[in-house]
Amino acid sequence: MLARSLVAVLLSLPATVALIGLFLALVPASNALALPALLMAFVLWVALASASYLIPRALPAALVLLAITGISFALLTLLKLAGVSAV
Amino acid sequence: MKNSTLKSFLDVHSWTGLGAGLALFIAFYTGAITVFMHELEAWDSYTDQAQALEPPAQAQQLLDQVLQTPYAAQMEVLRLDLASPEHPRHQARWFERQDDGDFKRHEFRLAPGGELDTALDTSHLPGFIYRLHYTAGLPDSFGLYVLGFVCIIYGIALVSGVILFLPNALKDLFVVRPGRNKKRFWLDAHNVVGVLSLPWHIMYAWSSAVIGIGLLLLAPFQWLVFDDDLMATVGPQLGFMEQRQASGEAAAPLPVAQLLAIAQTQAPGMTPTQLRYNHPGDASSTVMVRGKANADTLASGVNVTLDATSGTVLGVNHPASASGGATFYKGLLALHYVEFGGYPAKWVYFVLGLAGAFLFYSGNLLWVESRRRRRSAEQSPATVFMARLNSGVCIGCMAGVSAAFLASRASAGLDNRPELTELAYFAVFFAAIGWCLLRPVAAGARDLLYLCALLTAAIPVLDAIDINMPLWRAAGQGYWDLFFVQLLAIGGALAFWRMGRAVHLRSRHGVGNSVWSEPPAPAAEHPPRDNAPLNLPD
Repeated sequence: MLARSLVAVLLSLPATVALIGLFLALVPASNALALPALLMAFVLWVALASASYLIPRALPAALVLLAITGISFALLTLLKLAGVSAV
Repeated sequence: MKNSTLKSFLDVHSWTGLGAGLALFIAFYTGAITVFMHELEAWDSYTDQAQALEPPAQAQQLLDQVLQTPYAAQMEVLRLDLASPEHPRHQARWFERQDDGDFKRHEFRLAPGGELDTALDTSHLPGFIYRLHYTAGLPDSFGLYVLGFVCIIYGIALVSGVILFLPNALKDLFVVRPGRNKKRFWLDAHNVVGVLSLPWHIMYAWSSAVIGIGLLLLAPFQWLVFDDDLMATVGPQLGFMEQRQASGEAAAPLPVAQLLAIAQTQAPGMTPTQLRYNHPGDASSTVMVRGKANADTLASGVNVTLDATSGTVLGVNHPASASGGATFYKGLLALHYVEFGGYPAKWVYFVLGLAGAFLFYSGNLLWVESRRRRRSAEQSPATVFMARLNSGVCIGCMAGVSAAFLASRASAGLDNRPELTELAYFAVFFAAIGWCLLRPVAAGARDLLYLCALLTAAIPVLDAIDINMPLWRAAGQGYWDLFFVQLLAIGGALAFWRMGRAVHLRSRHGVGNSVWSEPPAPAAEHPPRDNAPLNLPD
C-alpha cells in the first residue's frame, strides 16, 4: 500500500503538470485560461492519484503515470519547437 | 467494480483518513470557531469603556503622526485600517523585518488626547486559533505547506469514500442504526455526515490546497510549461502589481480623504476598509485602497492602486470587471472564507465545520472498531495506540482551545498575554496526549471529555467574575458577541459532559473485548456486576 500510495501521490503530480501544460499549449487564448487551468490542476492531481489505484499493482501504475507524463511533455516540446504552442 | 478494486479503495480510504484525519480534525474544529472571527475578536478585546466610532478625519491625523516617527523612512509597507463598527478605532500597522527574517509588529492608534499610542493590542486568541486552523499547531510556513499536502490526501480520501459508498448508496442513504453494533452505528453516522456535506468538503479540500500549496505548485508550471514569467500572465488578473522602489526623495502623500474619493470614482459603491501604502512618505509611494463592493459574484473584495502623491490611477481590481479566471479563484476563496450570506451562512459553516471534525474523528473510530478482537480481551497494539492517539489529539485540541479562551481572558492586561494564551493551549494539548497514552483508552477519553466540559463551562463563569459580564447581563446590555460565545460555551460544555458520560457508561455496561471497555477489576475488591458481559476475562 505504501509503494502504491507513493506512486499515486508523487507520480500523478508531474503527469498533472504535463497534461495541463499540453492543454494550455493546444488551446488558443491560453492566457485567459491559465488561471482556471492552474486551479483545475488540483482536481486533476487528485483524480489521477485516485485513478491509479484502479491498476492493481504499483509498478504498472507507475509506468502508466510515467507514460502519460513522458508523452505529454514530448508533445508539448514538439508544439513549442514547431512554434504552434500557445504558451 | 470488482471486489478487489473496492478492497483497494477501502485501504486507500482507511490510510488516507488515518494519515490526514488528526490534522484535519484540528483544522476543522478551529476553523468552525474562526468562522466567527469578528465576534471572537470582540469577545477577546472586550473593555468596559465604550468606544465611539472614530471619525474619518482622524485617519489623516493618525497617518500624519505615524509619518513623523523615526521609523517612517524604514517602512516598506504601512497598513492603515479604517475604523468600522467592529473595530471603532483607526489603526496603522507596520511589520519590521528583523535580521533573522522574522517580523516585528508595530501598531499605532490615536490616544484619547490625540497623541500617538504605540501600545500593542495584546488580543491574540482569534489570530492564534486561526493559525491553528491552517497549521494544526505546526510552525507557521511549514505547517501551512503540510496542511496543503494533507488537503490533497483529504481529496483522495473523499474520492475513495464516495466510491466505497456508491454500491450501497440507495440502501444506506441517511440511515443511522443505533444499537449494540457500534461499528454499524459509527459507519452509518460517518456516511450520513460525509454524504450530506460532500459538496462542502470538495470545496474545502480544493480551496485549502490552493491556499496551502498554490504558490508551490506554480513552480513546476513555471519551469516546465511556461517560457514567459507565469506571474506576468496570472498576476495582473489577481491584482498583483510590480512594486516600485523607493526614490529616496521625500514627498507628502495626498490627503486620505482625497485618495478615498479617487478610489470611489474608480469603483463606485466601494466601502473602503484599508489603505496600504508602499514606501509611505517617499516620492514614488503607491497606495492600494482596499474595500468591499456589492457585485453579482461571490467575491466582494475591491482594490484600487494609486500613485500616493499624484493620485494617478495605476490599477483597478473589481469583481464586476474581473477575468473569468480571477472570478473563479476569488470565488473559491470567498467560499472558503464564507464571505457571503451573512450570519445564516456563517452558522451553516459552523455546523458543517463541527460535522467535518466529527467525520475525521468517527473515521478513526471506525478503523479501531473494525479491528476489534471480539473473542479476546487483548486488543492489538496498533488498535490501542490509534484509539489513544485519536482521543488525545482530538479531545486534547478541544480542551486546549477552551484553555486558551480562559488564559486569554484571565491574562487580559498582561504584556505576555499572547504567550500565556499559546502556552495554555499547548500545555493542555500535549498533557492530554500524554494522559491518553498512560491511561486505559476508555478512562483517558472519559477524563478528557470531562476536562473539556469543565474548561468550557468555565468560560462564561470567568466572564462573569473577571469582567462582570454574566450571560444575562451580556444579553441585557446588548453585548451579543459575548452572549453568543458564552451560550455556545455552555452548550459545548453540556455536549462534552454527555459524551464523557456515554464513554463511561459504555466502558462499564457495553460489550467487553474492546478498547472501550474498562480493564477487569480484581474480583476480591469489586464483585462482578450482574450486567457485565459474560466474555470478560478473569
